Amino acid sequence: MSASQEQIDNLIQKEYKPGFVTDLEADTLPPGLNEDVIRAISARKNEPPFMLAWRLKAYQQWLTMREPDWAYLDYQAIDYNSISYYSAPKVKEAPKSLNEVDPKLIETYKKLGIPLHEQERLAGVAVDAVFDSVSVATTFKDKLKEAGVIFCSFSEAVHTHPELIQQYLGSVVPPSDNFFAALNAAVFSDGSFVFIPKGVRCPMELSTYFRINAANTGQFERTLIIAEENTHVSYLEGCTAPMRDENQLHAAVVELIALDHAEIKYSTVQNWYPGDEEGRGGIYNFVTKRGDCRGHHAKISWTQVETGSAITWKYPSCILRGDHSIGEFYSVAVSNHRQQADTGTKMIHVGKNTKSTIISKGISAGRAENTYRGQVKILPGAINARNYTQCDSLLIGPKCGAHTFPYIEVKEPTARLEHEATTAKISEDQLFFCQQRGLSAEDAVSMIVNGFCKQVFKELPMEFAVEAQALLGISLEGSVG
Amino acid sequence: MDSVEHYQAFFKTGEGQLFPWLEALRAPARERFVAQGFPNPLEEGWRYTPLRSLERVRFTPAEAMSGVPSEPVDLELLKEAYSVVFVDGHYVAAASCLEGLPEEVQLKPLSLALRTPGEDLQGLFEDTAAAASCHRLEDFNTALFSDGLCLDIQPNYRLEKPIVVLHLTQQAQGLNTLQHRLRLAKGAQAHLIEVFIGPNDHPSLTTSMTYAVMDENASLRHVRLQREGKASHHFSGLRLKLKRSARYQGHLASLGALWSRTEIHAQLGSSAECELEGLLLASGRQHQDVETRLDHGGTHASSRQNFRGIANERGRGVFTGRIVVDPGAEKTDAGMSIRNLLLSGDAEIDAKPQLEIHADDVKCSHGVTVGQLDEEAVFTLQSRGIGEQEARHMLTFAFANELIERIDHEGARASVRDAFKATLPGSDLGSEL
Repeated sequence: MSASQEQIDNLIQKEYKPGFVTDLEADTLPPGLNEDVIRAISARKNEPPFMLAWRLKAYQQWLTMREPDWAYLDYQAIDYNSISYYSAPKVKEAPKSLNEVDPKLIETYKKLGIPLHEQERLAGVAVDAVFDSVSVATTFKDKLKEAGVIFCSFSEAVHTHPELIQQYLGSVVPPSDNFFAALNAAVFSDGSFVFIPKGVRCPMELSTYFRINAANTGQFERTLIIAEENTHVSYLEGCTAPMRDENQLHAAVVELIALDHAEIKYSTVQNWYPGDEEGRGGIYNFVTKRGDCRGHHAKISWTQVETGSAITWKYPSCILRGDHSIGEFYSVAVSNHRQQADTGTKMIHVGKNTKSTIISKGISAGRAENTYRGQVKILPGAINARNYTQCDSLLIGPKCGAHTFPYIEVKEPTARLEHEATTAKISEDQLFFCQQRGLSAEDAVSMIVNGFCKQVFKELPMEFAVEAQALLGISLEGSVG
Repeated sequence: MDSVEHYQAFFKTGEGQLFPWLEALRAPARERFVAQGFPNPLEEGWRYTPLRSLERVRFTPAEAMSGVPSEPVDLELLKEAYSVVFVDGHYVAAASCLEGLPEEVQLKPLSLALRTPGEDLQGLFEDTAAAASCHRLEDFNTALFSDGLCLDIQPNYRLEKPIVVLHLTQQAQGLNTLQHRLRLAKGAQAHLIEVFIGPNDHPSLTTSMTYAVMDENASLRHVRLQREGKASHHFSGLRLKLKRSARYQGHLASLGALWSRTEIHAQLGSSAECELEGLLLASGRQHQDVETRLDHGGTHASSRQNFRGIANERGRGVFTGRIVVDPGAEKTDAGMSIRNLLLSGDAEIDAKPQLEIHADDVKCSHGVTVGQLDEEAVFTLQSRGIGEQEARHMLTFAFANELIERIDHEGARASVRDAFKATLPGSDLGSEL
């Protein structure tokens, strides 16, 4: 293509912007995993006994489980004993207000573009920021409290609302669910907790920012969102990590619970460090996300833009238990250089008149492998269940791979299901047409790719949509030429 | 005694002296099967198709030809064709008709060929011997096969008359294992029609593997009609190697058997064309499984797959279709469509269409639908004075008939259509269809 070599080189050399390290004193546990480590984590967080018991049980289950190997991923075996399971920025006492938060931390979030200070707020997004293992600050608490919404770090919720935690924790993703969920249950350090009481429409978008900073640590956070009857909440999640040569493990669990007429919209822009062109370093991202539509007319919508991580293993799912409930999954997964992504969704139809939509867009460039893996299961009795699935893959360059592995199981004769998948590349004609009208090759590719992803981007909240488009551009830089 | 031990007793050994190449093929298959037994549902390829019912019965191979076929066979189909008849896994010369075969065509049952001195069969077997078999049911077949068809067609010879291969099962608890080997030289053409027929009243197991190597520009049309008995188990596999510009057109109708699995694996060279069409009917307690895997290894190759499944009563239809595009296989054009009718609350459809793509300048797609008969169409027919039951039958038949219509051999088309009509549950349609 016509872009000069120099231009392309410039683009390739563009760095992963959030790849800096913040020099902070941290309280880090030595590497290794055993019951004592779990006890230490629980003690550091001053948890009630039920939490410790729950963690230990999960650990015992984890010991009996095998790491899953069915995904289309190729990575070096993870040594679970070389990881440090807890790292927290050192503070003498818990910060009472934002003024007491370490200025270096605030600086970090500023660099990442998250305005922690309420004065610098961006369109009223309440942020809970998780730095390595602990939540450092939650903004807009008062305003949310007024509406009755509980939005705080997980460790805070364990103390302030133990009854809710006991009732809902692990009810969607039990520790026994899979290897990584069990590991997370045993060692998770923090995360976000959201509770929307009956009849409340959350007045602002809630957001969590995850940041891995310390070396040789793993990050294990857990998010729990409970939306009671007649509620609405939109939740955003973003993540970054420094550039390092070694791989770091991130194993998170997200549980969503939607009761009658509740709607949860969960959006993720995942931009963990993807490793360099040769595949050195990068985050191993093994995430279990599941939503449970327990009530009738409940709706859970997952939107994800996956641009980061060396390895992505992630299947946000919906259990459509309530009659008339709706599950949605919109995904853009981009992999470049040597990234590998195996991601998709599960839609399990149990209730009557349940509906699900899956739109998945995979983009593969460089030497990357991008896989859609999904399951649509319609159980007997899910009368008039309806599913529509569309998986499109775009290949950029002859050395990448794009794969589609859907599983379709239908046991209900009134169900209707459609699935389609296509794979194609950006055609020379399209490119030529754009260039003829004065666009550079890079711009043309970017425009075509954005068009390809539009169906998903339009589901994202405004600020995120802008960020996602920019990210997509950066992720694919150097892939055309 | 477990099932593996039971079958071990029937393994073919002692061929090593006369046919070392055959022993070289069988020995590793034997070992793998003994070590690992039948596939189990924990394995990805068998997740929807358990072999429990197959393992429960101890099937026994018929020692030798037991006689001529007791039931009359599809005479219409045999007209104007060469025919090869296997009864209980053994070739029956009296029922077959190979008269007038041109010298360019070598067509012989394996049992006969092995007894003919100077016959060079090794060539037919070696091309696939190197490729490791993909699972233990295939190994089972290789360890046990007693007979089969050897077909070798000289370059540029076009065999117009079809070859009809009948597989009949008569013995109770019988085990039929056959392996067919086909080779079509450059530019050769053939038309093969395979029919599997069995009795309804007792279980039997038929496994049949077909290996076909098609050289440049060769062309094969292939119809397979499976209407085994209601208690039988059926496994048939096809392994195709399509070289440059070779063309394969396959039609499958899987209508019979209690448990059935049909596999079609093809390797496509440059500019090869592969067209697969298939119809599945699972009613009663039938389990119908079709698995395809197309490996696009060369540039400009194209493949089309078009399957339809009907699951009724307690039937279960399973589809797995994998399209693999190797690095460098640019300009591949691969499409797959799977459409299903799910007609009862106890029936089930499972589909696993897969794309695995390692080249960028390709066009690949797959589509799956699962649904019911269009209620408005049922109503329209009712409003024209047709009873509801009959209307549903007509629409179900029409759904299947769209594929049946595409079989170009008239006799084969009629056989498939008749078999489908006879198998469609509660079918008492008048002759107007």
